[in-house]
Parts: sequence; structure tokens; C-alpha cells
Amino acid sequence: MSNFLSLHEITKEYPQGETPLRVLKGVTLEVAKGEYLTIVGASGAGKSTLLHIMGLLDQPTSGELLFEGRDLGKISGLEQAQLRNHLFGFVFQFFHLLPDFNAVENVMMPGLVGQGLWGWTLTRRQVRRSAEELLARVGLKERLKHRPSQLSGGERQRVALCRALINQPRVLLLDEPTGNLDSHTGEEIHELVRTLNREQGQTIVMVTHNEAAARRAGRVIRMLDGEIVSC
Amino acid sequence: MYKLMVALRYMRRNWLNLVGVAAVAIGVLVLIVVLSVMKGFDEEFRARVRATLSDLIVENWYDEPFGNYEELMAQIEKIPHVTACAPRYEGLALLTLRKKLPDGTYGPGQQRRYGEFLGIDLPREVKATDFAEYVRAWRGRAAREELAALFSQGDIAIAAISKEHVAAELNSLRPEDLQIMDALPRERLTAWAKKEGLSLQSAFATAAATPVEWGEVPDSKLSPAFAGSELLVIGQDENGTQVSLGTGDQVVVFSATDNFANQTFRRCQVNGEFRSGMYDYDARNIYLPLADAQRFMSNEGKVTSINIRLDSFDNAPIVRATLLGILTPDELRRGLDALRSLGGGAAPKLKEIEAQLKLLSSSEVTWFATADYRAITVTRSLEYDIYGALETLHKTGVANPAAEEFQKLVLQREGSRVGRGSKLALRVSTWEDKRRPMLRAVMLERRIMGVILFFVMLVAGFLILSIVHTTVLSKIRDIGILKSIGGSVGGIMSIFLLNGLLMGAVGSALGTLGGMLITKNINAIQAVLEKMVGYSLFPQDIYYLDRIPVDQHPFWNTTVICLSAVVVSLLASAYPAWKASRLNAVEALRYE
Ligand SMILES: Nc1ncnc2c1ncn2[C@@H]1O[C@H](COP(=O)(O)OP(=O)(O)O)[C@@H](O)[C@H]1O
Ligand SMILES: [Mg+2]
Repeated sequence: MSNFLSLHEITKEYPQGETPLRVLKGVTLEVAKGEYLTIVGASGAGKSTLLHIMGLLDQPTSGELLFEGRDLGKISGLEQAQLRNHLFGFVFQFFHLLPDFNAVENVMMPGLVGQGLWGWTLTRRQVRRSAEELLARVGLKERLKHRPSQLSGGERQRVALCRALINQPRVLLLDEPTGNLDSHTGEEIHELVRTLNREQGQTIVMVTHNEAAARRAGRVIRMLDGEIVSC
Repeated sequence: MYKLMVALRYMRRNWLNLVGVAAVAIGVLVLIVVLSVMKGFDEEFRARVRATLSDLIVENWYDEPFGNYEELMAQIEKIPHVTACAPRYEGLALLTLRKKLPDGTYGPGQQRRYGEFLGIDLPREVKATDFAEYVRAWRGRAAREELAALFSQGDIAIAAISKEHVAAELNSLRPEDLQIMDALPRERLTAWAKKEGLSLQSAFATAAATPVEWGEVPDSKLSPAFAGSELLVIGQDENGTQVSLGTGDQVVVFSATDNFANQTFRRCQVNGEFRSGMYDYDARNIYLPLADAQRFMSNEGKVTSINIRLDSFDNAPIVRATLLGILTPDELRRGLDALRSLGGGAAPKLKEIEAQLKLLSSSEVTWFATADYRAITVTRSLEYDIYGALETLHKTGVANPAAEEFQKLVLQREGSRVGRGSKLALRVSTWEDKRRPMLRAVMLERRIMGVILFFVMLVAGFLILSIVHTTVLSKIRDIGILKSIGGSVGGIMSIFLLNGLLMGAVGSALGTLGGMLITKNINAIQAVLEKMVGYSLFPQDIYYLDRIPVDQHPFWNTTVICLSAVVVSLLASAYPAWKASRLNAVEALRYE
């Protein structure tokens, strides 16, 4: 067992009639530090569910989730919220930006949430500065004050990526980040993620359909009906 | 803090929040205005109801006139906290009003009334009660009318009268009299007084310092009297102007006793007017000299009550206890504490004493408050019980200073009882005891009004609940997002609680501001409204008030109202906030 992120015999069931619907059927997986891991598989295979469990957004029915040897299933709800805030960064297929806030505010939000959560001494101004830096780095310097509805899909996803990165997470989780983008903008996002992994050693777990791009970056695992079928 | 930031952003984006703020503001405003006007009326009403009642009133327990009162009063005056006392002879009477005819005789009575005569010792009365306030204020009706007539004729008429004359008339007036005289423009009066080198201020000061006197009567068969202002009204003449008794007119007082064979009466000449503002008193009371009342009732040397003024009404319980020769509930408690600290007394007895004492100190026991004899009996038996128990302990050699003090106090209090050695049993009431039904009615009225008005607050609360609920429904996806970036259950809940809290707080602030503005300017607002609707909303002749009274110290009322508004808003948002915080993150994210 590595002592970074590891999943052991994770199952997830949804109650349904007499026999529960088994979405995950005992997934065991190791993610090494600095690794670029891609999960592929047909729609409905349980990829999102697995990612959600990995990122503490969802609770597994059974199994263990360990981070650096610590069992994340056994900690309080508040602590889980804290880990979601600064251990994991999430990027979704549908961007999921807050519509009432502009780009820079959306990026700042995890930093502001973290302020209250675990006594960070980061001031609002510091959070804003790093949010602006991140947005500048993904080429949205001119778009700080724009609301999500005023941005294109690619731009939105870049804002979402910045938001996932603002608290310098240990693991970046991406759920089909390019699924809603055209192939060109999708490739740009992939490129950004690859650069993060290569230059900063950012650990990446990504669900995608773009297998070709994934192969170039690192390890790929395939899921089928709630099980890992090939590594 | 992101919670406040998010809450504020959501509020700004939804105009419904303004509706919530307005609802709270209206609720707070209505509560503040209505309660402060009611409190204003209450304070006014308390003063009116009290009128000439003194702090404590001593009567015969058997409601008979009692003698030897000079000696009793001498004893009472020695009691600490007593500043003055005055005897009274009061009784029911049939009153006949007789107006002087043009030929100088008195015809048969024009009107018959039932009422009450009050024989008072004037020099002592003015020290022990506020009698002077009410008599002097209205004594100068004739002078006031004369002045008003002069002033309404114009400056030439004023110049024609000597300033000494006006100054003399002014002496019988008080500032309140001038204020309510529509016919007498104050500016002109002030200007005139200035020109003549008269200071109105000093005229008023002289008026206040002039002692009340009975005034002259033509022969000894007549008594000088002050009659209630409403009592004096006979009716209207053919021109529709009010006819009332005035200087030189008479009221004949017939005794209303059960002495059938010997009905007595006394003719009184009305030398002045009494006006308290309470219709009941003003329509029934006639004041005459104590000696005359005693003689006419064939009860020379006797009175029906002694009226006591205290340095402060707060001292009424202790003075009353001293008068009756008993302990106050507080003092009894101290004795009980001494007994308990000695660990002594028969345990079951101790419990019984405890229960009785609790009953005594409870404000709900009206028979104690109303000076019922039972209260005295219970107190005496408690004194006896505690004293006895302490005595038993003392014999067994246990003693402490507190116990000795208690025993000393019991003996000393018994010794200080007023009227000791006579067969007289006293009833001692406070003025509140005397007027308890009315005071209770008013207090209850305000409480009930508060409860009813609180429903306005509740409605605002329901509105807030549905507004916050709508916000939560429209922000389900946001809630999922916030959870995915680390928002905790408490954090999500705080966002929506803040939403309600802010509505409550802003609404309270606006409502308080509006309420203050309205109560401060209520009389101006009333005037404007009256112009608009065209009739009097606040007829002065009904309330005897020249303005709408308001609570002068609204701090506590306002604080309580605002706090309850904020609490209601918070509670109203608690349910939707709780629901929001329980949302499952993944499902919320998937929500369309
Ligand atoms: N709340 C739920 N209740 C019942 N079934 C669910 C629920 N959420 C997901 N599923 C089912 O779990 C399976 C896996 O879903 P998901 O992890 O989203 O698949 P993928 O991301 O691989 O397309 C699907 O068949 C889906 O219908
Ligand atoms: Mg999926």
C-alpha cells in the first residue's frame, strides 16, 4: 500500500426494490503522489460515483478510503468539509460556478470558505491576489469581473479549474472536464492539466472520454459496471 | 466571512427580501406606536385614577367612623418615612344643585344627584394629598373666561384694563389653563405681558405658591365647598349654552345614612371647582371643611380615614407593617432563614411555614394586596410559629444574632402598632389597593394588546419563512457547489439564517426609526389627519387631554420589541436553513 491516496474494497449501493442497485462492486485502487491517473469507461460504469467518494462528496456503502494512512471514513462531517476545502480540488463536467458571483469571486470562494474553517490567517486581499494570479495564468486576465453567464464554456471551465486550485489541493479531481466543450477547447484544458502535473507535480485523477490524450499523460484504468477491468 | 458575503448577494438578487424587511418594519412600527401610546394613556390614567388619594389610607376595619384620631395621627407621624397625614370624613350623599336666581334668592333645586361628600382639613390635606393641584387648576374658571373674552375683543380692550387686574387674574391660572384656551392666543398674551413689564413666569410662580383657601361664606349656616366640575353642570339653556353653577351658587348635601328618623343636610356655597380628569370623581365629589362634615353627620370628633403621604411609595409595605404591628414578608423570610440556618424547628412545621410565606409574598394573592384581614392573621401566626421555634432552640442553648434580631423585631413591631390599647382594628390600604380593579383592567388591556399585536410579528415571521424557503429552493445547485468546495453543514445553515436575521435586523431598525418618528410627532400627524378627514380624531372633551400622551421612556419597550422581531426572524429562517444544510451534495449538484 502506498501512503498517499488509496481505496480499498469500495462498494456503493442504492436501495432499489428487493435487490439494491450495486453501482460500485468493490473497487481497490492506489493513487501515487504526483501521479496522473485517468479513469475511462462507458457511461453509467460508476466513474463519477467513484470520484465523488474519493473526494468525500459521497459516502461509500462499505470499504476504506485512506489518505496518508488516515481513514477518511471515520472522521467527522466538519473535518470532511475541511478536507474538501483544502485537500481536494473538484472540477465538474457542467462547470458548476456560482451564477451570482463573478469569475474572481468564484475562484476566491474556497479560499474564503477556508478562512472560517481552519483558522487560516489568509486575508481577503491575499485570497483575491492569488485568485487573480491564477486567472491570469489561464489567460482570463481581462475577464475577472465577468459573471459565468457572460463567459464561454471553455472560459468557464478554466475559471472552475482555478477555483479547484486556489487552496493548493493535494489531489485534483476532474469529472469529464471536457465533456461539454468542443475538441479544441477541450484540448486546451487537457494541456493545462498536463502542465500542472508535469511542472508542479500536481496529483491528478481525471475521468475522461479522450483516451488518446490520457494515454500520453500517465496511467489509465478502465471501468465497467462498477468494477475496474484493466489497468 | 463567505457566509455573510453569500447571504448578502442572495438578498440583493431577490426583491422578495425587501418585502420581508417591510413586513418586519411594519410589525415593529405598529407595536412601538400602539404600545407607547397605550403606555402614555396608562400613565395619564394612573394619575387620574389616583387623583387625591394619598400613599396610604388608614380606615376602621368595620368601616365605622372612629374617634381619637388626633392621637393616632400623632403616632403615625412618628413612623419613619411618613411625611404628612390628614384626616377625612367621607360619606355618601344626595346632592341638590341650587342656582342663585336674579332676585337674589334660591329657588327649589334645579337638579338632584347622588354623590359623595368629603370633609377635609384643608391645611393638612394639601400636605398629605395632591388636592391643591386639582382645585387650584380649575378654581379660576371665571377669571379665565373673563380674560379670554377680553383678549378676543382685541388689543384696545386689553389696553383698557389695568395691568394689575390682569396680573391678579393671571395669579389664579396655571400654564395648563392657558395652553388649552383657544380663544387666548399665547403669543399675544406674552407680547402684551412683555410690553407691560409683566413676567408670565412669575405670575405662574405666584399662582403655584398661593395657598388654597375655603373662601368667604355669608353666614355660618353655609359651608364653603369645592365641587367637581361635572357636578356643577346643570344643563343647557334655550340658546344651547351650558348652564352650570358658579360663584355664589349652592349645593345642598343630604346625608345618605340608615338613620331614617333623622335625615340631616348641610347647605354649601360653591367657592371653587375641583377637576381631576376622572369623570367619576368630577361628577360626584364635593369637598367641604372637616368640622362641618362631622357636625352635619352628628359625629363630632370622628373621622372615616387618615391619609398618609410617604417620602416614597416604595416604602408603603414597611410603613403599613409598622402601622399594623406586623412584619413584612421579607422580614418573615429573614426569620425563617435564621431558623433554617440553625437547623432547627420541627421539620414538617418548617415546610408549612414556607408554604404560607410563599402565599403571602405572591403577588397573585389579591386578598393580601387588598389589605384583607386574613393577611394580618396569617402574618401573625407565622410570626408566632417562627418565634416559638426559635425560642425552643434558644432554650436548648442554640442561638445566633440573626435569630435574636428577629425576636427583637417581632416584639418591637408589636409595640409600635398604632392604636394599641384601643379596640380599634385598622385597615391600611395603599392607593393602588383602593383602585385595584381599574388598575388591573388597564394593565391587562395592555398585555392583551401586546399579545394581539405580536401576531403581526408572527405573520412577518411566516413571510420570512417562505422567502428564505424560496431562496433555498432556487439555490439548491449553489448549495451543492458550496459543499463541494468545503462549506460545512453549519456554514450552509448560517447563510440562510443570516438571510432571515438580516431581514429581521434591518426591518427592526427601520421600524424603530419610523415608530420613533411617529410617536415623537403623533400630535402633528393627528392634526394633519384631522384636516384630511374633516372631523376630530381625538376630541379633547372626551379625554380631557389636549394632546395624545405617549410613553416618555420607550427604551425598554423598544428593546423588547426589536429583540423579539429579530428572534422571530431567526426562528422563521431556521427551518429552511436547516433543510438546506441537510441537502446531499451530489444530489444537489445534479439538481436541475
Ligand atoms: N442517486 C442515485 N440513485 C440510484 N442510482 C444512481 C444514483 N446516482 C447514480 N446512480 C446510478 O449509478 C450508476 C453509475 O453512475 P455514474 O457514477 O454517474 O456513472 P458514470 O459517471 O460512469 O457515467 C448509474 O447507473 C446511475 O444510474
Ligand atoms: Mg459521470
